[in-house]
Amino acid sequence: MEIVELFVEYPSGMTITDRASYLRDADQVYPSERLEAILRDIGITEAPPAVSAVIDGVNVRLDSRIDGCFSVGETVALSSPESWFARRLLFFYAPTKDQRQQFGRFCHTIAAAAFLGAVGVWHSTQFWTVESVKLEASLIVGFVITFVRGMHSFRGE
Amino acid sequence: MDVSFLIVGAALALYGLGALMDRNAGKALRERRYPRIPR
Repeated sequence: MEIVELFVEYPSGMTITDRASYLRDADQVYPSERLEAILRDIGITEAPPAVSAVIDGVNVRLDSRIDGCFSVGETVALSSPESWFARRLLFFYAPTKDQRQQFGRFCHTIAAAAFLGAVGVWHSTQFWTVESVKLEASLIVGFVITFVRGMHSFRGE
Repeated sequence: MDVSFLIVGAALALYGLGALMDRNAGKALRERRYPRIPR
């Protein structure tokens, strides 16, 4: 018998976190009687919840059983792509909030570089030819695009 | 190749990647909040 973290998430947004007993031989999770009573009461007016638990450091989905306990289902994770190349790009496929924020920081770094580049070009240009105007405009457009993208990526959930 | 187009192209590529990340993160969040209940 082991103690595991249990997460009960209802479609309405209500989330209940509790500890439960995990019987490895039966591959079943037994919630506390108190939690069972709460789930029974809420079940009258709510749609069925998504129940998951952390077992051996892995988040697994639990399936409800008639007797009130849960059987261990599949691992809760987005299906990982098969190919080596696709797995390397997983942070685009299933990014975490932190990864999105890091991408926002990167975008802001590029925006700062574009801004400084635009200032540099502005000060170093003596004769404004079509080429230099195009370069200056591209740096300003690049600054605006990467700055806006960075702000969007910084937005929370 | 004109470096101006390269700069704007790189910025647009970054914007696209960020938009893709946002879209996938939103999809994962919706899946988590409103899980598909097998019938």
